[in-house]
Amino acid sequence: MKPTRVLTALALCLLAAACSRPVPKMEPKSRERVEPWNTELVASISQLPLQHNGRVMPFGTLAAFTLYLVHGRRDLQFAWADKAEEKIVLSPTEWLLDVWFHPDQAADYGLFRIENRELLDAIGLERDGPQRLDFDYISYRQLLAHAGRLQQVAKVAGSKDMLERSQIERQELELMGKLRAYHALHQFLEPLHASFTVTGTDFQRLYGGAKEVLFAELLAQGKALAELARTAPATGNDPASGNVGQVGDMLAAMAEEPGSDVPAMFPPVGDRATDKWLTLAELTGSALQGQLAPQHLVMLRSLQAAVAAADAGAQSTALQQFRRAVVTVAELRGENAGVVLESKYYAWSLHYRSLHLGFLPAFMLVVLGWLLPRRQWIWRLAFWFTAAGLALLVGDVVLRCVVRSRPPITGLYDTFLFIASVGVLAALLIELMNRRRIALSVAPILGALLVMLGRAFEVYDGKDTMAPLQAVLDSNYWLATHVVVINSGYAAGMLGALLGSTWLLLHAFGLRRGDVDFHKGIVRMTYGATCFGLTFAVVGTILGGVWANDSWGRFWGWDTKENGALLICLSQIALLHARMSGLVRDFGYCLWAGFTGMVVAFSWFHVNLLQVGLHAYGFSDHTAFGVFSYYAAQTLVLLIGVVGHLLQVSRPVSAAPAARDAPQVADLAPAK
Amino acid sequence: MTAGTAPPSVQPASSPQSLPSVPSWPLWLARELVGLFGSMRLTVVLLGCLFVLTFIGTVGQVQRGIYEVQKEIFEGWWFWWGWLPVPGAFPVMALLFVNLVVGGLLRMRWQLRNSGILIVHLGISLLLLAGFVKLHFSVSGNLALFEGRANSLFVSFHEWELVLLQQDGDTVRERTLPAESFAAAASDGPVHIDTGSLPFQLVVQGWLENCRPLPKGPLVQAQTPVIDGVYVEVEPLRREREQNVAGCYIDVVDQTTGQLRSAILWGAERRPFDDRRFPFTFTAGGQRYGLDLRRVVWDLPFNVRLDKFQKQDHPGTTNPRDYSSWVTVREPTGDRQVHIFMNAPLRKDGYVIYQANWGPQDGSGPPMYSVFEVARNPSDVWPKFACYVIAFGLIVHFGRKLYRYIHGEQERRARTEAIA
Amino acid sequence: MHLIARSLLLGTGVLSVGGCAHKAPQFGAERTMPAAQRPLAWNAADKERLLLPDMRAPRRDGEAAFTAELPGGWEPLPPDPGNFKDLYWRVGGQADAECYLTGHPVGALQPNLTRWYGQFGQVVSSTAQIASLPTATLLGSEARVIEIEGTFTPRDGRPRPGFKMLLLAVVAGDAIQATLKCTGPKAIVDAQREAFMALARSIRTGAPAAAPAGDPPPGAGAMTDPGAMHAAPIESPFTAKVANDWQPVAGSSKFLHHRFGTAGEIYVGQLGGDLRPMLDIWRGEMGQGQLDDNGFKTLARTPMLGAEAMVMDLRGDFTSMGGTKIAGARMLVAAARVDGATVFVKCFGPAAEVEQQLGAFAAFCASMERRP
Repeated sequence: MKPTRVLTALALCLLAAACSRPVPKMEPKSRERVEPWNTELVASISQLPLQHNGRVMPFGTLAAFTLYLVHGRRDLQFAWADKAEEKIVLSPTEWLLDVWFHPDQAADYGLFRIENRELLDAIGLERDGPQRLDFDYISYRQLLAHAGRLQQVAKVAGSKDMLERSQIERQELELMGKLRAYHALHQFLEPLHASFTVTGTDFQRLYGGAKEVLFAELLAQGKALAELARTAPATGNDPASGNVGQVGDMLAAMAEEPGSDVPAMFPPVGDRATDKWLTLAELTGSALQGQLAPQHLVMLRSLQAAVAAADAGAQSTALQQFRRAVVTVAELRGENAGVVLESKYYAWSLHYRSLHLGFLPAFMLVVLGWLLPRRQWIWRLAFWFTAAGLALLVGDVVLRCVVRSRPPITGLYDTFLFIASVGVLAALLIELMNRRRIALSVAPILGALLVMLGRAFEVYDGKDTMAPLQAVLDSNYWLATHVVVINSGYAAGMLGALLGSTWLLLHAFGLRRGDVDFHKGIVRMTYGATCFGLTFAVVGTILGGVWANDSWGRFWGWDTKENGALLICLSQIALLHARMSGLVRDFGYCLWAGFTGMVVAFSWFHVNLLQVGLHAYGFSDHTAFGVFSYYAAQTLVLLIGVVGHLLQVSRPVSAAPAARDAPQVADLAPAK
Repeated sequence: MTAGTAPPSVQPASSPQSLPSVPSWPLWLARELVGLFGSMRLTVVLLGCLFVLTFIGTVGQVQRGIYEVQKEIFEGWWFWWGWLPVPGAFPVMALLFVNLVVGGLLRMRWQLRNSGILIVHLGISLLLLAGFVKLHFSVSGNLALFEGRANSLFVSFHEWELVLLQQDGDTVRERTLPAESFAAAASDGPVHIDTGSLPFQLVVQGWLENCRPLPKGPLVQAQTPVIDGVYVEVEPLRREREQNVAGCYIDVVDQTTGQLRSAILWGAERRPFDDRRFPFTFTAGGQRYGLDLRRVVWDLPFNVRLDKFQKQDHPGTTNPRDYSSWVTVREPTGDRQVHIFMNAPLRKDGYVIYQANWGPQDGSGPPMYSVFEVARNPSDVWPKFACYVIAFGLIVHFGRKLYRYIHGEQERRARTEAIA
Repeated sequence: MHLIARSLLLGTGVLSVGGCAHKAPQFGAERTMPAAQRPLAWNAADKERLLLPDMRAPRRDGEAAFTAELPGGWEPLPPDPGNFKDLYWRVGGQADAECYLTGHPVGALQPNLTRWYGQFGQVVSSTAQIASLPTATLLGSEARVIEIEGTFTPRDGRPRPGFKMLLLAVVAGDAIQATLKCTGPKAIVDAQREAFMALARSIRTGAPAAAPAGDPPPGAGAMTDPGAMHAAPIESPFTAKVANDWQPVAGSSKFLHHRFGTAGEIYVGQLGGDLRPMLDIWRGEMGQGQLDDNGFKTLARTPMLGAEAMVMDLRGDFTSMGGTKIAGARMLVAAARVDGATVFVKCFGPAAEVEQQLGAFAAFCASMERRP
């Protein structure tokens, strides 16, 4: 390929990337917040600790995963209709701050991602013109107007067995879940936005004669309010007590509110033994009983001030005050350091940098290297870029371990990063062993693909990737042995599939046909990957059985995940024995290695989609799409291999293989 | 061949054999069998079959539940796949075991360079043996206890038995009959049970895998026979097999008087709320007998008392972070306190007790009860040992290959360097 | 090729080993053990042995709610309070003639009449005609005598021609408070008419029973409006059968909030935290002290949302947190732990008004469902 063609291709790619999707436009009447959020404030609020879903996490994490869940993107983009050229990009933290402090504006953001127009029909929302994109965003306000209908259709869908639901029914249920999750956050600071009319002289005296009181102040005098309400006459028109009864009722109702979907913002004060943080509702309850701790009152007041603030400066000050109050208590409980580290982990995003500073440049260098094979420095640079990418990726995995105090893999997301690391490491080691540049060519592809897929999974799954573990998984020993070993086996299986596919494609297109050593080299590498994979897969599978034996009393239960691992072992053992007994040679071996890649994908993901067994993680249309895309791609490669092989076999062997060896010998001079 | 020697005598072209001068057919048969069973191509075929069976079984679990699939595809001898009779995983693995021993151990040369493979093959045969032992010689069930209660038996999940009981004061005598010996036949017609010298005969008239007895009101139509105003409502099979409660109709014929009594037997458990069983009582030959249909009971050689059960959730959620039990095990030397929790079972006298679950899960507790899974498996630790052996063998074998590969690649590069 | 043939032969041989011979099953060897190892209850009646439904009344105090004198030739059947049968008989020894008492409110007049007449294929034109029917005494109240003849088609049976239903219904206003119903072949019912009337006169009540589910009135559960964005939750996550005389409270932040009578209220709430402290708060509202552990464990139960809910029944002077006072009030709270939260139904008001809603309360709790 001539360099000009390459450059043209690159230019076209860049152009395509620059043509981004048009952003949704928002009416100026929704605008509440005039200036963008102060960057320092955003950075500092990002690190605010809170408790949600069973663990203490930074504000930024809650914001990010909620945005991923409802919006399907890592940021929220829009433009005001009167300033259409100025695209506004909100980070998750900024978005959640808008939801809490400018809820009316946030209610109009194009938020909920709808991928199927029929879903809009199902809930009665009118389609906004012909379908332009493959997905649409609707705002909270729009969806809420049709919430009743959505609940009805979701109820019908929910009453069916999981396996009988159609795609649209699954999406209805998902949308219902997203609405609930967002709604909990949207309503969360609701009481702080309202001001309460206080009538009755005794009642007003509690607040220094004020006739309008904010929520935090109401709670500040909670006990006195409750007392007054108890002694007040029942009519509610008494000039002294006024509407204390109604207000008291309202507060009591709030105390009865549920607390499961809502983040708990207030760390417990005094009682070191409890690990449960308090929600606003629980704080209301304790205020009415006169048990509001002074630190909680400070937090409440500063949060109230932030909501009621007149300008951005005052809001910023109040929020910082709130943060300091919470962090002080969290530090005493030893819960702040982890939060700060986690926040930094997400800010640094080492795995993302490994793409841009490592694998993608390495890939471009590799392509360049095959065009200009004699330039040693290109290959050397490619190696170092790949190594840099690997270092960043490993750093990411290690940092995750430190943040969670757990071995590397505890969930499906972790497997992407880990398998990418092991795969790239194995490829680089192979390269160091044989310097054929084939493993080096394959390494950045493997790394980049897996990291990108992992990032896509993180967003489409929309769940906290550091969620606390269930009781049965809570064993660092087994997580560090069985899970690590078997995932290493997956990595080797994918690497073997990639190498085998490379051989098949090269063979099919007749590239470097006479270079026997070259092709044999690839086969040997594939064989090596199979051996490595087999070792880890077999040992990992048996370790899984030993773990199950210690947990549930049975070594092997023919569970779907166990079967998946067994399928990989069987495929690889059969492959090795077939090779040994002469049933397959180079072509058959590489074909089978490619097939083993599909078996690995089946075991890694597909069994989770089957919704049964001890490892069922639940159905996800996006994961299904990803898995089936891989099956299709790999099958295509295998078919090309078969067709190409049949064509190659029917052609006469090209003459003078030795003559072709000579120019390549010089290329194979050691790079270091 | 050196010059001057006579050419060897020509063998008839049709004879494929070159046997020694005393051909004996047993030796021929043995050699053919060894060749057949030790063939590596057979290994590949068997592994391929096992692969296909595992795949069918994995996808089949979605609709049919794991218990049914396990019994039919993985532990059975053969089954129908559409119109095709297909061998189950059990005979395939049995053949694989034979193939492994003959081809992978006996026929291999015991040389240093094969050491890795031999070790691996030894490990895998141990693993297959462990599986066989577990299948045929192991039992498992559950034991649920409220705090402060003790017990020394455990109850099967899936298996039922018919029990004949007699009690004299403080002693109970029982004789059991596993339901699988009559359940299938009873669905087609009456099954006579051989009661030997006992003064009555028993006939099982019907067996229902999941059912519930109900009183027959005047305006209710019953699909099954009514006995004393009670009939049995047939319920659809649950996918989780342990939720099915079996029942059967049984006729007792007193041999001396010829009197026939029919009864419904139902296997519902009241444990852990109530440990008692309620057998159907009848007299024959002047003695009182009881008949009970219950989940198979195994007795433990020691007594277990639950002292305390604790469940901790992740804060603000109901996801269990940890749940564990403190039990007291009665031993001849004295009582022993043991803490049983997830991944940390109690192993004693060949039995293993795991923390499996808790209840009640409908929020009507405390008081809470702890559910233990109890298993007796002679091959309990074999897989762990096999794992070490296999890992060692694989590392030895592939390690050697890796070493030779690196060495070979270095030589190749040295050669090409020398040429350049 | 003969390799394949040999493999097949061997395979068949291997597989045939799997077959086993059939012989009559027999018991295993006798084993002896102490009675403590096998606690047994001998000679148990079928009802207990087979856990037949009416014996499974969980942990409620077993007060006999009603007593009556058994007419000659009638056979008492096990009562099924959950199924309207507080007392139940087989009439005159006939298999298809039955009679039962429903001693609690069964809902509005119109729908019940429609149903009963409908079972005989007849249409009831207006409820006013009931005022012209003769009366009899049932449970100390005046009851109308309703007689319907024709082909009887019960809910789950085949049509029976020549049947008759003889029914005493205590009507109060628009609702039916109690019924004594006899159904069977016309000849039998006519013959047993005197015995039926005598039976009705002889029925006495014990303490009022914890009301089981009454006949659900027509009309589905209440659905609050999606509501203002800022004030109320999107919509009630629950549905339940709401009584006809309940008025929904608009704009309430509580789920399924209704009023009845002059000052009665009922609503559903959800707690993320513990139930015990809230129980004590509610007890405080009724002027009572905290529950001790024993009191907590012995609370009555009722099924709700697929779980067992604890029921608290309190009497006293009600003073809400907000100052609302009701003297001589009664409060019913049913709370169940479901899906990680505690869901509760709270009903309170003047004692007399709450007492009239016992059946509706129970129906409400029993019919409550969570939307997905």
